[in-house]
Amino acid sequence: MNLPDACDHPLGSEPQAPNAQGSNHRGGIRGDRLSLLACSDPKILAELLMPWTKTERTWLRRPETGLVMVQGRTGGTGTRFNLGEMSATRCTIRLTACGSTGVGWVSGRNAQHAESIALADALLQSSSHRDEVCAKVIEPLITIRQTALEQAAALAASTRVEFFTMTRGG
Amino acid sequence: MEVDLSLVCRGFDDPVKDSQRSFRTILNALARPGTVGHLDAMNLDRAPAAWTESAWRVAMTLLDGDTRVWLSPSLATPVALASLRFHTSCPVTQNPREADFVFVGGPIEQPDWSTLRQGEPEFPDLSATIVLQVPGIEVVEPSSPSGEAPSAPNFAASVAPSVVPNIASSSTWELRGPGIEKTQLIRLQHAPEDPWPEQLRHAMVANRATFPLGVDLLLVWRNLVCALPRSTRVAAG
Repeated sequence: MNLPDACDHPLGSEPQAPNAQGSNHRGGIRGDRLSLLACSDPKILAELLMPWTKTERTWLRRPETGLVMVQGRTGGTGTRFNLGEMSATRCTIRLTACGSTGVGWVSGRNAQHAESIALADALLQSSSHRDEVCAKVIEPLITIRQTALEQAAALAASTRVEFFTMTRGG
Repeated sequence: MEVDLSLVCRGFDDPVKDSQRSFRTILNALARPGTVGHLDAMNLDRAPAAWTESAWRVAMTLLDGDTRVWLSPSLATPVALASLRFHTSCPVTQNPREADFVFVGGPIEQPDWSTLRQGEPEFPDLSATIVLQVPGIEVVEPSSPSGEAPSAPNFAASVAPSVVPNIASSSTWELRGPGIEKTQLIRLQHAPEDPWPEQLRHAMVANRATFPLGVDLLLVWRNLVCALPRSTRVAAG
């Protein structure tokens, strides 16, 4: 995974070593991208992936919906406990041409979304498609997410109350 | 344990229907020992090298996260391990003694049957099932006139010996027991002077002696499966 990459955003480039870009979980850069894809709007993702929808592929695992146990830790540091189950849909595809494999997991039951994610993930694993998919799918999604975050932050900021403390004494 | 996805081979196209169909075939085979069930042919790229189609189908059908599996050395390829993990999430054990399913690539790789899980008197079902790849099975026409019509696709598929290359000899076994009206003959193909059919028959006899404890055997070849549960008595035909 040390191939040169055109993207300059942390999410767009391959790390030299796992977690080298500051990812703080086991999935590393691939996990970050999968998270970005899973949190994206299914319609926007499908539109961005239009040029690749005809890419030949086979199913390793067709989309299937099941329950996953969500675990939590009290205060983020305590012992693990089972918080509850949520529905999730997953699938795995392999590209016929280059043999690269992609996985897609999404919360809920949107099989189409899971397939889009798996396709994007597989393309990102393939050296011939990676740069283009980075530029045309990942980067726009990052922008969209950034915008959404900024809007939310702006909304919150307008209600912020500043507290001043007068200097006492002298 | 992480799975190397690049190694994973394809499983069932339609996991629910395909595994139900396979399950039915295996169930029928177990209900009528000595008959042959056809596990539908799969594309060859779906079974890892060294695995016959039917052994792979049995694995895809019967294994899940609660079944401990032991693989004989020739079957425990990286592709097979990754694919089993991916499709069935079964735990693979290094110790045949604790396995629920024992997959054996060829007769010479068999572990000693008496070391496998035999079940307990209260729970005879807690025993191992052996899936054994053999170099050829042939079902000899049933000796009894069929009183009841057996289900058509799963019955007595006679396979011409000529399609098995380099196999010169065969051993015929006479089966009796539940699921067999009178007797049932099967023929195992093997190289001349091969000792394993005789050893396998002795193992089956010893296995029958501890009934209701004991192991169950599925013989697999190409896309065929033939079951010899512990209730079946075997005699040299």
